[in-house]
Amino acid sequence: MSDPDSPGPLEPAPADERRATLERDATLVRRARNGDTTAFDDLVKAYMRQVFHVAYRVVGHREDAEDLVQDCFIAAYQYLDSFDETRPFGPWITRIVLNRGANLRRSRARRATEPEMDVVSTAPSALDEATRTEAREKLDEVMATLNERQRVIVTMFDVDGLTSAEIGERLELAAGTVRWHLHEARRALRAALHRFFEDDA
Amino acid sequence: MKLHLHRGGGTSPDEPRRDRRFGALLRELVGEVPMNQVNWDSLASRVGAAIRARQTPWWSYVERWQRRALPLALAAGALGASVLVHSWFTHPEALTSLPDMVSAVVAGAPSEDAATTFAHTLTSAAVYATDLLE
Repeated sequence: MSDPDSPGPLEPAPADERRATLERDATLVRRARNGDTTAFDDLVKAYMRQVFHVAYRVVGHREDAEDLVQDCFIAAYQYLDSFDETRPFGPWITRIVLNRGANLRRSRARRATEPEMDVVSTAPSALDEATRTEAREKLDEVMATLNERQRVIVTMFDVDGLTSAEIGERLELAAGTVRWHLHEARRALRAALHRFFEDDA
Repeated sequence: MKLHLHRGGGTSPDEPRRDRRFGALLRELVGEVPMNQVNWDSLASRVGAAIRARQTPWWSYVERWQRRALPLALAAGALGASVLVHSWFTHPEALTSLPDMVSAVVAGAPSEDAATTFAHTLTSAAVYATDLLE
């Protein structure tokens, strides 16, 4: 079993490791279906960091992301019978996060809560406060036009530094599909945010 | 004020090029994922507790049916009693075997014989009850 304290694989896992994870998860799922909640606890510990990462990228707020993680694991437990044991567990629960996260994000947008400013980059800001506020508003506006998948993919690629293959493994998408979503999201974001950064060319 | 950064390169021919200016702006606006601010043990416990709280214990089914089951049980008991009382008057020979069975067992008769006799009694009562309902 992989170290539960690790933040999740940053590179696509080798085939042997993938197979071992698949077998471990299938065993845990079977035990959980038979009412062994400690087996499900092990699944939670193995995937909560990865789930939180995606959840945060969907809702952009730590406490909401934690609530979303809890909500998604409960949903996963309730619908465990519909999980195909031959498939990896990570992408399955990630899909639940994307679906449920969309609803949470919309309800949060209605509450108009500001994002957590203390978790935004600790690096010195290159934008003054007014420009930054304006850029954030523009970003929120454009992000709202993207679907959950595109929003998560563009932030995982351009902010978290993951490759398209790594993102594809997490979301169970072909790398080409990830690149297409990335292209679409970047096109929309660049068009909207272009005036906030200078073009070298 | 604007950001001054340079375009980065991709890691493979198929990989999209990394635009560091764009990445830096996005990072500044959406922030890093605060992985180190989460108490993972607490979150795992919270999830586990929420799942256990949603499980349905067997006694909750009893509680759920208690209100409906009690009157039904009383009605069934009353019906059974009335059938027995009624059959006592119409077929007294059918119900004499219960005390007979008890006394036979007490006297040391094989319990199988006593049980057979009692089963006949119940069958008679059931047949009578069916006749009554029809």
